[in-house]
Amino acid sequence: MTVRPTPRAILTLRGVTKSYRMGKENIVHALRGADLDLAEGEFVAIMGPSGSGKSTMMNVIGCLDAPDDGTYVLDGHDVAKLKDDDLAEIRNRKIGFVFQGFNLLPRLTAIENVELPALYGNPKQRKERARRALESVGLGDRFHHKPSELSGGQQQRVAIARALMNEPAMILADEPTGNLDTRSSAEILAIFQHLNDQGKTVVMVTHEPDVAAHCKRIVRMRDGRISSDEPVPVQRRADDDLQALVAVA
Amino acid sequence: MKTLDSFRSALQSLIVNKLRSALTMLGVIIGVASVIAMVAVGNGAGAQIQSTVLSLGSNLVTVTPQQVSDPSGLRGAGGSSMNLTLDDMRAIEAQLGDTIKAVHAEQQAGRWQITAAGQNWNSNVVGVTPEYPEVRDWPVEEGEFFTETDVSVNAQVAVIGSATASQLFGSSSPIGLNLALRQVFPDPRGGGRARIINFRIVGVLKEKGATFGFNRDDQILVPTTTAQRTLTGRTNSVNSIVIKALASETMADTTEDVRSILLQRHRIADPANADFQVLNQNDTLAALSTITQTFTILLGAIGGISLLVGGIGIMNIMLVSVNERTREIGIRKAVGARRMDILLQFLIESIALTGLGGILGILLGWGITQLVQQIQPSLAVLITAGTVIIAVGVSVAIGVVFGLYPAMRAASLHPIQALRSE
Repeated sequence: MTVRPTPRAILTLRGVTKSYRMGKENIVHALRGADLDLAEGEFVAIMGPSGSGKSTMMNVIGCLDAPDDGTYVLDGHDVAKLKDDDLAEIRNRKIGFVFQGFNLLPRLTAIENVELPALYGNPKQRKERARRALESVGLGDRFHHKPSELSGGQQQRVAIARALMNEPAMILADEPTGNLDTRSSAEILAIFQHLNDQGKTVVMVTHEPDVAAHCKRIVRMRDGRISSDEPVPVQRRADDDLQALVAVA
Repeated sequence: MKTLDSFRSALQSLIVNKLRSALTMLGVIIGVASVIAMVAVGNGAGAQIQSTVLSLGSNLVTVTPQQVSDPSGLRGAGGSSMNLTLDDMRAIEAQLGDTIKAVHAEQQAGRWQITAAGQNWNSNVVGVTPEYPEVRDWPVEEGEFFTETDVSVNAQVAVIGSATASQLFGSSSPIGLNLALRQVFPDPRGGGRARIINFRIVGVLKEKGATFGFNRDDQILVPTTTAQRTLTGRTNSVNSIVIKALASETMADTTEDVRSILLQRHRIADPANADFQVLNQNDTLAALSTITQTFTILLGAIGGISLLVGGIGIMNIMLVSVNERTREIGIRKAVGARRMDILLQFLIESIALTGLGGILGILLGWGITQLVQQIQPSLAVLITAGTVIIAVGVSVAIGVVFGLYPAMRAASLHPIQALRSE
């Protein structure tokens, strides 16, 4: 019997709470003591109805917001109590963001957008690294296109290349297929799956069960807590979806 | 983020909004240009006044008669302004000796009608002593200056200015020729009697040029004694005694020496009752430069106000820009930009605006001064390196001051809120 090495822990959340003040008197408790563990190489979907706290969860995991209470260890760093500028540095080094609305800078070309994280972190060989990242998402021929000259699927791939730029510990995708058609969605999910196959940790926030079925594990949230956390019995492969789409056409 | 990247990105965003950047810059351009042009006019006037004063001779101590007032505050008799004499000048010359360079005395003889070589002219006649060229740093170009002997015998000889010479004699030499000073007295019985005094021309002064529209090359110099006895009848009195000190540093001493000699000669115990006034050229220059400096500061301040307005325009546009680019700020923060990165990005943008505006403003200001010179050549303008450095410095400082608030607003945006904005 062989002993499988325990995979490295990427993030550990314990009893994380977060509340917001809405207006003068109204306090919204978005997180009421969430616990979550994530190991290297996982592909997790965070699901839940609106108001369940999944957006806040994503902001806390993404170090965009500090929790009110509880502990959060990201890739060995305790980040729960960090100040704004230290959080910015953690985001720069540890997290690659992919957003629903792509969030590319419209004035910059594809390659300049991909270079952006390197401007605020490690600037070494940034052109070369950006080129490789864009090639890895299949945009080797679109370096100097502006976002407005690219399709939605291509823009999202530029965003993924940008997320890969600083070789983060985790890719954090917020409804990455929300603005895309079926085919582009499948292409984007295929890229995430290939990255995950290569060992990248991917966390994806979504409300679509079809999208979540492409992950390996689904975490559901309700009322600011984790309500269920289970593995996906059979991971749906986006490559199969793409083949099916070709067959239909 | 490297500064070079910041600059490139700042320029990029300025180029994207070409018209807006240009209009915003216009405020700074006009501000800097007006500071440059206004201060240039002020400095030019100052330099011109200074050179005018110095062109009358350098290191001069001038003695002029002073009206004596009695204790009741009433003025003394008119005759008290005739209390400087040629003998005072001789005394100063004898007593100060080598401690001064030269001394001369002047007696204005008024404007006279002049005829010579069939030409008519009107000029100012001044009685002076032979040291005039040395004291006034004004040598003769042609011929010679009249001598001590000419003064002692009230010779009817004259040294004329270069403009007077060319008016009366054109390009030919007037040396040795005669000119006649004419004065017409109205006769109560009708008509008039003319008095004509002939002078032999012995020299022509070097050209000095006109300042403030006053041509100093148009004058006729005659011996003081001749001016006193023949032309004015003010025997022995002079309008001024001018002493040339050895150097600028000895002027204060010379001023004191002259004052004590004259007090003694005029038998005045209390210097407050002196019937003369001793003016030190350094003091005159200092007083004049205070005036022109105030003038320059005033002009600069007027320009400065437009620069301030330009700065407020910068702040306004930067605030709009921060608002418009909230999402960009969110994206940059999400991928790891720190507060300082965002702060510098916007600060560099506003400094680029004002810095470029400052440079263009200097060019425009220079252009304006050139135009002023073309239209009004007598108005001197002077752009100094100091003005340029200050103008650029101030415009960059305006970029920092008025760009800081918008940049701080941008830097303190929360990444989540910034990302959510449309």
